[in-house]
Amino acid sequence: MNQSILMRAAFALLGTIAIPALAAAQETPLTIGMSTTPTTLDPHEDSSAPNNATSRHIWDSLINLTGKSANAPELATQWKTVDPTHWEFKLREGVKFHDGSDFNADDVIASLLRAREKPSQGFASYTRSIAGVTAKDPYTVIVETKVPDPLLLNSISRIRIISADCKDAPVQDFDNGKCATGTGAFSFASYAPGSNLTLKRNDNYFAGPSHWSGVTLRFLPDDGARLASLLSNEIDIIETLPADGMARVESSGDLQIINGQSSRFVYLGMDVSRDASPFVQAADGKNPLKDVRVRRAMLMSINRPAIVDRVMQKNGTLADQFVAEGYAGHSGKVEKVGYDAAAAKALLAEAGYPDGFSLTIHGPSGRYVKDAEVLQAVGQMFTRIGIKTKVEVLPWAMYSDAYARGDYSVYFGSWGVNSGETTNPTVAVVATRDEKKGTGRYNGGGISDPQIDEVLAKASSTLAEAEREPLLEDLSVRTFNNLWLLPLHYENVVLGAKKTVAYTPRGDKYTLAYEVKPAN
Amino acid sequence: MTELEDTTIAASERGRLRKGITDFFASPVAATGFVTLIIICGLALLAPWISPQNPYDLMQLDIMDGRLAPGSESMSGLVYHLGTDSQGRDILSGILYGLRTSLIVGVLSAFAAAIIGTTIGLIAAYRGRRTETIIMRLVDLQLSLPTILMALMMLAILGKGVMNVVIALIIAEWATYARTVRGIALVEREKEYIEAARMLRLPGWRILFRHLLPNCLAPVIVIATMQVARAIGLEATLSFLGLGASVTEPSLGMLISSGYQYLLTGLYWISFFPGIALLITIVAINLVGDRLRDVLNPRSMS
Repeated sequence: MNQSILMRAAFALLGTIAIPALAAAQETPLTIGMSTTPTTLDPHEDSSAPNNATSRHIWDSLINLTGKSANAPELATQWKTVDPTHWEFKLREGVKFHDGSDFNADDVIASLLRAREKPSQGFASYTRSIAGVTAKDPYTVIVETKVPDPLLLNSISRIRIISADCKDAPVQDFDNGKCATGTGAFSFASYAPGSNLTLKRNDNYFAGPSHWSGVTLRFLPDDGARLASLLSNEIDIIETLPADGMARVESSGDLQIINGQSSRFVYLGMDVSRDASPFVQAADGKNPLKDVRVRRAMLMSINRPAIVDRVMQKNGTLADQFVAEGYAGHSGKVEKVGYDAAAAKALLAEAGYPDGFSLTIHGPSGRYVKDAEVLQAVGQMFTRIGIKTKVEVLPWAMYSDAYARGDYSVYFGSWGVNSGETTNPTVAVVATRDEKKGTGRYNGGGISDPQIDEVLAKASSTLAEAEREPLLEDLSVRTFNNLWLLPLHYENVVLGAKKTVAYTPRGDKYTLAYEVKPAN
Repeated sequence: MTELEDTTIAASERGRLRKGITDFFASPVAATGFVTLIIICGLALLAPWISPQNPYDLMQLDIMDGRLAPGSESMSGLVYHLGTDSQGRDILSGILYGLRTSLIVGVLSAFAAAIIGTTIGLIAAYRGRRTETIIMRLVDLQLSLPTILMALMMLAILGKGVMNVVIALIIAEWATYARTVRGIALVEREKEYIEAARMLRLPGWRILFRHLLPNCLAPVIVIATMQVARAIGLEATLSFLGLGASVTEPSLGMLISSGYQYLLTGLYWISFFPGIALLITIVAINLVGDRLRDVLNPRSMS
């Protein structure tokens, strides 16, 4: 007992400097350097990645969205569909909030409705299909949806369950800790907005207590500061290790690079709708991008392994479709187009452009990993097969609206497939643009493929997994065998960490303390 | 009589010029700056013939040659004396071509701003009254905005591109000239020769440009020289922020910015050499400008 107090005092004195000899002890705290800063602790205010990753430490959801975007039981132990618009969730019994109160259906109802009714509407895209939530008994909840919604489980997994006592609490009550009580693996200790959040271990966590006695999340959006904190041993694990820090980390004996694939898919979008495209000058005055052979030749001309290797510096993984193997909707029937500049030139000639054409390609600068450099490399490769290419990169604020509107001929696009299946990217970037239905909002190439729209509509209302999976795969096949988009790569999640910890990166890039394990 | 007068005036003018040149080169520092500047301009002019590679031609670049250290050899046998950037662009060629962009932007914007600013300043001083008030409040407004902010705003409106940078810099810089010229012109306006010209009922534009202007020109030349250096620096800043030249046709600022993220990794050459080139250019121009100010300013000559 005395010893434990002494140890705590020692930790307080030493701050967060870890002593290797104590690394295996039970009283080890963990410090995570986050690359983004949450706006608030209120888990229903704003659905951005830093907020959701932070709230995940204190609160649980009914469904646990795993690192590979699968749905696993959490506060709900099982679920089923009663009919296409009614879902029944069985709740876990015996779970307690950090303040000792019991968890039951009231908390679920309060949380789901609070997320839906919040004036900020931060979670609208997840709550919009929820028509009502009712309790059948204290541990059974029925969720009614407006239309059959196959993504309901994914949506529900994003809504944290707070105590019903806090359903009317304002944002401040979460930030000052009054309502920062959840059922999660860690409980609130202190919060300094924009700087750090400290948490204590919840020894009664239903899935077993965490290895770490406490967790400090430090918000360090500046690349240099984050890297410096890792190098100086202040922090155990940092998000988004800057590319220029990789060599430093590699050469250090105590540090390691943790590399995993994210669900962020990077592609080139093409103007496939206009007869004359604004940034293309072809000898015949037409828009060559409408010809699938031209698009194919362009993809063949891009040496994607070289881009991943040399430009991305292994911060990416080659992609052929929206999602990697293991995710819903990945199809083996998508043709893999390899690099072959000679064949690309021949195919371009066959399409009627033996002398190529002139083209300006556009992209953002500094928004995605090495975006401007990838685009320049692509420009080089297009030029090699006779497509005289100019590269324009713009700051994200100027680029984001323009590309979505369809201002460009060939543009750099990217989509984080957080739902882990293919309807989510298809709705946004491939489906025919339709303001009323909310489809094709980021379809900057004016793609309109009635077959894709039809399959998409079907997939979006099919609940049975076995029927849905072939539809999801069909979306991949139709998008990428027609080359409506030219796939480039998936961004990798790159973390820097001490060798004393082990972590498997998640597709959504969250760094969750509960999933960080001591090494060996 | 008049012929005689003309020749004496011409002779004294020639004498003044000769004296000016002698004075200028009396300072070895200024002479060094001047020679350096001439060399830099020569290199920039001759870039297409002397640089090992055309860094703007994507055909000649190969990302497989990216980030090579100074002195490395490419597969085609080309030696990269100052290394390559991440796109496989030869840094030496990049600097030579980048100097062209930087100098064009600097000279064009400084002198265009000088012409516009001087004209406006002269008009303000000569016309006086409401014209002057309006113009000078506009100048105050302009000078109260930070130049870089002004240029950023202009580029957000105009879009990217070298010519747009020039326009943005002109708009951001004319006010300095207007203010200076007005100050001097206000003094000159009261002098007898202007009064005499007025008495002769010479047209306003003639008094302005034939009589007033030549006597206000010395400080304008000095400011313009300094502004060339400033404009080059500003262009580099704008390019560094991603708003200047096109990424495939990098200026010095763009090269520095693309190498900046590699500095911590030890790939120093991508930023370092263009940075040195920029530094030498700006210092050389400033040395020349400083000396010009000393030579052309009658008060500092006594």
